[in-house]
Amino acid sequence: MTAAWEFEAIGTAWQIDTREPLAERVRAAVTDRIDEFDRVWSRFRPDSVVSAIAAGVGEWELPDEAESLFRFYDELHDATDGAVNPLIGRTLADLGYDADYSLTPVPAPADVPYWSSLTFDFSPPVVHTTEPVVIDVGAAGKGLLVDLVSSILHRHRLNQFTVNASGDLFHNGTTPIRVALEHPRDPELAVGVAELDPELALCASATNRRAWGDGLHHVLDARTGRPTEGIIATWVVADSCMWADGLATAHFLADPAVLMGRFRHEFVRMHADGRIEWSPDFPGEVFV
Amino acid sequence: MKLSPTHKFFSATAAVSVLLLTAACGGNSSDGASSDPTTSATSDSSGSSDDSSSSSDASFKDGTYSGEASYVNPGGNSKLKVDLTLADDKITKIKVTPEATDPTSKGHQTDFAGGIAAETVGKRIDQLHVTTVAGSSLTHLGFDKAIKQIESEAKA
Repeated sequence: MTAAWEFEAIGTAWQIDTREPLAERVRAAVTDRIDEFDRVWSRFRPDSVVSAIAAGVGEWELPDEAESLFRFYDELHDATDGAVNPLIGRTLADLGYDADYSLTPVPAPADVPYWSSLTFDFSPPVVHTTEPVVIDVGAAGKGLLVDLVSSILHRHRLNQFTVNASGDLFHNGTTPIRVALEHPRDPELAVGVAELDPELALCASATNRRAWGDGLHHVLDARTGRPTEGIIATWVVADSCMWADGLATAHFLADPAVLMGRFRHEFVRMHADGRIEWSPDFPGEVFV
Repeated sequence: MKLSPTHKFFSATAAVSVLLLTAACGGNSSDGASSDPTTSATSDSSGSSDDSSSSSDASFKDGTYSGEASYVNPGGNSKLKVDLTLADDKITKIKVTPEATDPTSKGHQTDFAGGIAAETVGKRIDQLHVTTVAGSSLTHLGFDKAIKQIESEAKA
């Protein structure tokens, strides 16, 4: 790949590698799609659908991507005994991860509502609420957005590209790429290398960077409403970036054997005490 | 924080039983693949230099202790982490933190024959010949900005 397009969107650095520089209309289609996604799902935007849901009770029609996203969240919620639950939004904001990045927890953070307090119709997706809830799609949303951007590139007849949204990446091409697995405690070191075949996604997640205050970070266990401890970084390879992203979150919160039994993927994860674990067929190498 | 003698006694007893509970449950939740036990009670003497005048009848050594307690609830095994500071047999600080279910319990660890290592030897990324890096150092620009602002305000 010879051309790299770098830009910033949804608060993250993006890079799309292609053989030829992307045409202006393709770039516009990509940024429009990202903006459309943000207008629905951002809990930091006062004009988003998620912000409207947070302010009231009722029914909201959602875009088509909501169906695969919420069905996946259903499965993750089930596989993790409720630890993964997109209704953590208010708790996360109360802990300080809010629209203003106050990073100051309130004295009594809200409990996380039950995921079952939402009901859905599909085609078209409609969500029904009985109380104001703050949806946070942080566990799988960015991965889904990488998939949506990749499908736009496909639609424009591009078949050799890598989309990298700072930790969530989808690779499409003819040859594998090598991706360093960054050491969570030292960005100059790698704990391993993934050999990522075409049409596979890799997501990395770590709790120590986006962390603030007394053990506070962005990966919550919805059952306790508290940030997780024990695991400090995860990497997942899967067929779609949404899966890789969601499973990277789930590996902070669940038994790897359960996740391996239910979802086709490979993983590496690192414990706070430095131990590192990986699935038998992880494509690449872990440096031990 | 001053505690009355009665309160002190019960608090210390509670602390001990938490640590014993951990030990009792250690067989169920200890990690099969690693030698480090889930039960830990470590003393950090450096943190309590103010309390050098510990009385001779003290039954606990001054310091910071931490332990984990496991219990079974309908959702499975749950754990609590307890950190407490003892000085002159008084608990001067206690913090109880609920933890996620232990994801590497022995029973499941054998189910998937993946790898586990006590530590990783990191290799320098600039010597690895990779296309890109998957990690957290670039994760969130807005967040990073907020952190930097807080740091600069703290220094001001």
